[in-house]
Amino acid sequence: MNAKPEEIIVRILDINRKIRGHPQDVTRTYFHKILYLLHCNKKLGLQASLPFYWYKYGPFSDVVDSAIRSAVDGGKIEEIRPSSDLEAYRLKTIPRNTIPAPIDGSLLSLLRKWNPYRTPDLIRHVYKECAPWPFYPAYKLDFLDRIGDLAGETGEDRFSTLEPFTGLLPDSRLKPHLASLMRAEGARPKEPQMEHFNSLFLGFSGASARLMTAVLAGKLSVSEMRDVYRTGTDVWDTFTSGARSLPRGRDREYDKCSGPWNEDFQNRLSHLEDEIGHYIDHTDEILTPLAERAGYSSTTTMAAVLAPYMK
Amino acid sequence: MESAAVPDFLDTGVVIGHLVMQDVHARAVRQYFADKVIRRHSSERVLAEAKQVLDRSRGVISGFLNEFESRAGSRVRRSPDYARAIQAAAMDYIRSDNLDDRQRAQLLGFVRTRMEELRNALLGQAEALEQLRIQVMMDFSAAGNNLLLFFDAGKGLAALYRPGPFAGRDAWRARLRAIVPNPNDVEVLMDAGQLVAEARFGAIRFVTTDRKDIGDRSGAIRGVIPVLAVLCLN
Repeated sequence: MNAKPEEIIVRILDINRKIRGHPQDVTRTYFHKILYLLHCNKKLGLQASLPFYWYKYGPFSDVVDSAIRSAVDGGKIEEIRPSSDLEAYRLKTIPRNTIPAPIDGSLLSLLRKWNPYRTPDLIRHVYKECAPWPFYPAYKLDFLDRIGDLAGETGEDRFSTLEPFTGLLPDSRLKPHLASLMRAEGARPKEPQMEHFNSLFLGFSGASARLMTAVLAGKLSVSEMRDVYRTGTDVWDTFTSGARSLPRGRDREYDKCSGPWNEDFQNRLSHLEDEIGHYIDHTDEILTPLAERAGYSSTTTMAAVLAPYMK
Repeated sequence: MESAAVPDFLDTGVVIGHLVMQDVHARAVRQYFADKVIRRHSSERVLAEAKQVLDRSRGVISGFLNEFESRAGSRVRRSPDYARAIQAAAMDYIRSDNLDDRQRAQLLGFVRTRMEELRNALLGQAEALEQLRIQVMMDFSAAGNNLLLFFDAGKGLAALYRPGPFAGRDAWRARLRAIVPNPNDVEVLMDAGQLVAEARFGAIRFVTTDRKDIGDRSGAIRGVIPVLAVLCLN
């Protein structure tokens, strides 16, 4: 059973037009995710012709990218730009070629299930059900993206606060994010190649948790979350660079890239080590005066957990 | 405890011990810190190591809670004896993740202290684990802030020392490696020795809780760095 990726791309737009009537735009992300789900259906036998690797935005395929370009160049679809950071596509000519019935049937059910205008639901499904590491949804979707929203760096700007009028206020919105950060910690990849990353990640999460705790207590402005988000984004870029360098994070067709990808990962790790060091120093500088005012505090968890270090 | 004539250099275990002063295990450390007169120093390496201790400890607990939530939880829920089942889940995690003796003791200590919350999570209180995670993160954050106070620019309990280049370091390193098995201990011992040379203290007392690697080898260590006396609190 075979179908050219370009024909599948065109067919997606065609099915979407029929299901939803009006000419609909489909984003590049939507194409990638739908074709990834198609590729996961082993009965269709698309693994070799449609290889993927996991990277910054989840599963990615150069084949899908070039199939989109080729469909645009061939005049079958057209690119539109709803906004400067969004690439979307629209059907230009009704396709004459058909694709094998099993692939067509799977496409139809995928498109019925996943509305292209609700891409976040599709992304969450792909991350939760298919990611090679649970760190993918736990860190990216449940922590980093939400901190980005909170800090006004991504999505809807919810950074407008009453702080300029009222002074600092305890911000309980951060509580679930603290739990999400800990959940991401617990989902660290176990591969030995990720050991250095894991230790840097623990440094990042420890410093971030201290900042978040201070914001929660009304001792720091929520604007400090911008630093958490920016450093957290570099943490993410480094993790995903490592993810694609490991066999678990890519299809065999990408094995030829493992050398340069691993080199890229090592470079990023080295850069991240410096960055996390500065981040922790910066966090310490901010928190030291607050700690001075608050004084020492003790907790039962600490006594239980750290006691073994005394023996 | 009688105050020392020479200043002290604090090893990581002593710093960590100060964070858990309320615990019975920290009695020796508590007695040591009762003496206000001692001039105490430590190095940036010790601070970094203490931070890593906190990070690694938190990492053990976060891994366990994820496992508890996803797999162990459902199995444990069927058991009539919650406490025993929760401890068994912790033992399973210790085995599956190959935790060392110290991590094992940490996790079991945590489970013992937080048994009530873990039990509530099993009894279907969906928010219990979420609240526990938040509480643990806040507890560790408090401990991290205590570390800052401990070393804070002369106002804290110990002045922080940044080791610079020193001619004797390589000779010390080579000989200390033959005595002390842990590379981190070698570096921290050298920080103490170098501090004496640079600050012209004449001598320094290396205060540690590490009986096995340092305390029992104090004579040999002094043979390499004669200006270093070792005081083991355990």
